[in-house]
Amino acid sequence: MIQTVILPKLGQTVESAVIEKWHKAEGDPVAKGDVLCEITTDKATLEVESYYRGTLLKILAPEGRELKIGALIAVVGERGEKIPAEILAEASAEPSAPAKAAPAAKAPPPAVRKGGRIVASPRAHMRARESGVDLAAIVGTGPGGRIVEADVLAAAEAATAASAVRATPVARRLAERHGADLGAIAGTGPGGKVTKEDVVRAAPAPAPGPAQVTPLTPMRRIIAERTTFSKQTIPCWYVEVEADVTDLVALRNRLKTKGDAGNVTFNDFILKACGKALAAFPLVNSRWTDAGIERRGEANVGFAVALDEGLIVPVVRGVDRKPLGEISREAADLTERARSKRLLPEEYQGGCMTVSNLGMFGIRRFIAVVNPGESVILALGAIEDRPLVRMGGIQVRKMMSLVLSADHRLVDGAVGAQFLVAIRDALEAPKTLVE
Amino acid sequence: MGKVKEVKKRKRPKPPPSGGKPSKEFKIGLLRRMMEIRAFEDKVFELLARDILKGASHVYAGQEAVAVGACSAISQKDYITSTHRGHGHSVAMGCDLKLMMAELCGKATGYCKGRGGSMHIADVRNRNLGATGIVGGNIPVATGAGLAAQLKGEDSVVLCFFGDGAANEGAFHESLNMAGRWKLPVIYICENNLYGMSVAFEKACAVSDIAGRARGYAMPGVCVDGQRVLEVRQAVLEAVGRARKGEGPTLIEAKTYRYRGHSRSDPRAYRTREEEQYWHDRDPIKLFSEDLVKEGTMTLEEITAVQAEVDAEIAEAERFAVDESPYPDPSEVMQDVYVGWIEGERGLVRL
Amino acid sequence: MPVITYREAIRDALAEEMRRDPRVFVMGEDVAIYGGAYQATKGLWEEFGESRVRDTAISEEVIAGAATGAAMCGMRPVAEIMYVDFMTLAMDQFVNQAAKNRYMFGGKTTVPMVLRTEGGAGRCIAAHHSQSLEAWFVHSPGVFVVMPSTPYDVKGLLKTSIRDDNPVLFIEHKMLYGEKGEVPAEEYLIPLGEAAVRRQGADVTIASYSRMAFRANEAADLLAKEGIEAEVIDLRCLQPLDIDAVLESVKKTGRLVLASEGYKNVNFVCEVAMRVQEHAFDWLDAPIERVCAANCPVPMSPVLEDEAIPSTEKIVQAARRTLGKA
Repeated sequence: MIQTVILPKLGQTVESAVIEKWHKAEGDPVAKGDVLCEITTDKATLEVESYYRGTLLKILAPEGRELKIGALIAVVGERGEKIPAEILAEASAEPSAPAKAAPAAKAPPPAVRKGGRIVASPRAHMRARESGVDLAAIVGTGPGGRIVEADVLAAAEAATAASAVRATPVARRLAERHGADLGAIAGTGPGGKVTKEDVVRAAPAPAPGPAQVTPLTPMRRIIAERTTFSKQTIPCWYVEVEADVTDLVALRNRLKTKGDAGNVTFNDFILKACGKALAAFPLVNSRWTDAGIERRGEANVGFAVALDEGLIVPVVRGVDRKPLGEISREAADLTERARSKRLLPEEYQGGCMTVSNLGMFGIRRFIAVVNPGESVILALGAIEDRPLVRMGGIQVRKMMSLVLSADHRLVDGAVGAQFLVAIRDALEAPKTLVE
Repeated sequence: MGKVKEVKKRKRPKPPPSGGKPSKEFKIGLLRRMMEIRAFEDKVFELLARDILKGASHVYAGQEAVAVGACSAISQKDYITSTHRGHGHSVAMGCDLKLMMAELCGKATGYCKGRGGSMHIADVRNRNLGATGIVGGNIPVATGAGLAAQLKGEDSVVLCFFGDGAANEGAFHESLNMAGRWKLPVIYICENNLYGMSVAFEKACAVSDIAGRARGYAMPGVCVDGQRVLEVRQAVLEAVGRARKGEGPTLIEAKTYRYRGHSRSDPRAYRTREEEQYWHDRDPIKLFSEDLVKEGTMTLEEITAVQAEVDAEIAEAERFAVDESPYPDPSEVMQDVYVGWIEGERGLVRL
Repeated sequence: MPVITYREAIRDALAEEMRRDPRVFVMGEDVAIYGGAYQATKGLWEEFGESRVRDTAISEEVIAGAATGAAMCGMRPVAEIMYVDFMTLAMDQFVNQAAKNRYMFGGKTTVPMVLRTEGGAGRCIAAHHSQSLEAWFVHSPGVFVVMPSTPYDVKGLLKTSIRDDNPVLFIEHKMLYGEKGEVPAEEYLIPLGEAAVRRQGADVTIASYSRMAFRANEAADLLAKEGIEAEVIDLRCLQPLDIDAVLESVKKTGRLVLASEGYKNVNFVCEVAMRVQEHAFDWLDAPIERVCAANCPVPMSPVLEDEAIPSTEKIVQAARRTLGKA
């Protein structure tokens, strides 16, 4: 029986995904639960599993294609079964497969921002999606420089023409990077193939530092949008304290010797301390809306995890009521899956504050950007031995800078200060965190 | 939606042979109809107060003799058009009280499937061409019905009900001119209840008798006491006779009074309590009952018994409409805007 | 094939329908002996008599209202309102009673009437005799609006409108009454809700109706000389509207010019543009253009009147703009 496979719903805000890699080929047997392919959203990589048993009759969406949630991507059925024309028609009505001469990079989504809006007609956008042409690389000939359909079709044709030229893969990549027209280069390789040397020879004298433009990844685009939005719309103010974490460091070291049960990281203590402070200051655990200030039901704290192409902020939910051990286990699991880009949307959404730590780079103090939708962000610096006036004398203590960036619409000076002090106090009385 | 229980068709009171005196049964029928109207309207007023009836309802109480008297003078082949204050006309035409109440409640079992409500009750198949929310809006329509009868060569007539306010609308004048010119079989019945909404008739109208306007349109104009059912009936009978013979339209002005305000929210600050009392003393049901008793046609006990039956009917109508009838299915909101077409995804599509 | 005028086609349609169905009758101002202000009912009074072809007083409200009442009682009236500008006097009867009675009465009545009227500018008779008010009526649920441009269309559509059970506002154009065209002698009907593609092309779609349909054709001829191939659509029926014809064309050409003689503000074509935007957004290669009458009362002086209403040249310019060739 013919079964269609669609791009599944992936959380409340995800609207599209890119087919990253097919794990099955046409003709392969498929069991219920088998992974058919991997897809990436702007946040994570996820697997699409089969709900059906049978044979993968047809792949309707090739790798590199970005599609809307719900789009048809494959057909499963009995070997030899005929696929109804309507299903094939529906699939081809969606943005169809890119031209065989697809550029090496994945087809980027048409709304790519690169320092200004791309002005293109809806029809041009549609043709760009179909042909995999990058609108950002096109000069428009419509009124006001608008990209119109004809421009996209011309670009797609040029790409096809380029690939029709016989050239080595290296030569092809090099030509693309330098924007050279392969068709115009004389090939000296076997059978007239264009080689790397041919491309190099044909290249114009290198101008100083030709600009190299890399298409944005979804993650970079999101980071850019959110940080810009934050700086533009959130009236931020900043407050700092220094925490004496000597006792905290000692406690953690003691716990580490206790084996498995003691695998509590510094970050876990911070999360717990934030949780206690949020419970004590519900004003900070709030969200700004046009209709009013929304008190949150639970304290969800995120912590930034650096990735190759950017960062992601997994969220531990309910830190105010979870014991340290549970927080530690959860945070460890989230970190591992964050690094392998296997977080579910619920796991990086819904936070009320974020903790960011640059101490591992030797940074003494820094100021972080509040995540839109949250009220504060806490920036932690490195733990350093510093002299402190204490009990009438000077002692060397382990000190850490805590800088709180706060949204003044929600958090006024007194509240923010007391909130931050509460975190510090908790860190300076670490036994209270261990319950 | 549940199936509608089989509803007994009510007939209009059978008119006596022309020229003959009304029989006892006929007169009881007239009284009963007036009581039904009064009880129905009182119930409507109560349901409005309890917010069970939504929207507007304009109550006919006080004017019963006009509708009942007039409609008793026509037959099954004749038409009426009604007004926003038209429940009385519908009851007088034999409309089912349960279906009327259901319509006022916006239920699917109502005459208009809940689409029209109080101001738009119609039963076109039984020649009740409906009520309109536009003052005077049905006067041209009634004129057209008369035109249709003339074109078809039928001797049907049309009773066109409207109020004193409508008599100052352009539609009134255009219609009476056309009917007068073409001798259409329309009886224009103006229920002059002395008030438009809050503005007194005498403040709005250049003349004190609307019937006099008939002279401007080549038809007879007749004034009657709208509180006396037999007097109204007699005047309409004569007009109907003229119309059936092809002698054209008549304008009848029935002097009457509405006991309630214009609508539920009207505190009647524009009338004196003395004036209201004067007209309550001339309650058409009271006057007719007194006459019936005085002439020995009915006893007080019989009258009370009829009232009790009427009250039971109204209670049944309330039960049917409020408790038993379902609301229409919201998904059917777009039905019957057109014949043969319905709103689709991109515009109208054929059914 | 016989070649007759628009007005003769109207008259033929009326005569044929009156012969076919005794319920059809005509009434209006000056329709009988005079034969109609624009002679569209000439000869009917002689054939059918003064009962079925009735001169009325100057009473637009009761003309429309009596048609409504007669229709509800089983007749099929074709009433005339001499100028669409006078529809204002008939508004309540047409828009509140005729249009709504079927719905308000739970589907238990029909109002099979036709209101014939005419509109449009070009005679220098100024603001009260030159308007195009179709937008008001398409905006009223319950009413059909038909605006044919050729003799062939006006006959086929008028016959269909008379046989249709809905209230139809049939808007002719005063400048088209003398227009000649081929009209078959045999009986034919044109269904409501069907547009006509007058010319095929791949570069830009020009959709319009009534007199503007002629100007659209002229514009297409001029554009062809510049190498621009326009697809020309005559909408013919505004309600029900054949939007699919427009959508199909826009998906082919990617560009749309809409022409109408109504005032620009809230013109009927704004509804067309909205539906195109809703259902063919991705196929648009340029913003939709509209060519409408100026937002001023139609002036009398010929120079001003020509300026105020859409011209062929303005349609050509709009088409060029969609191609970035302004």
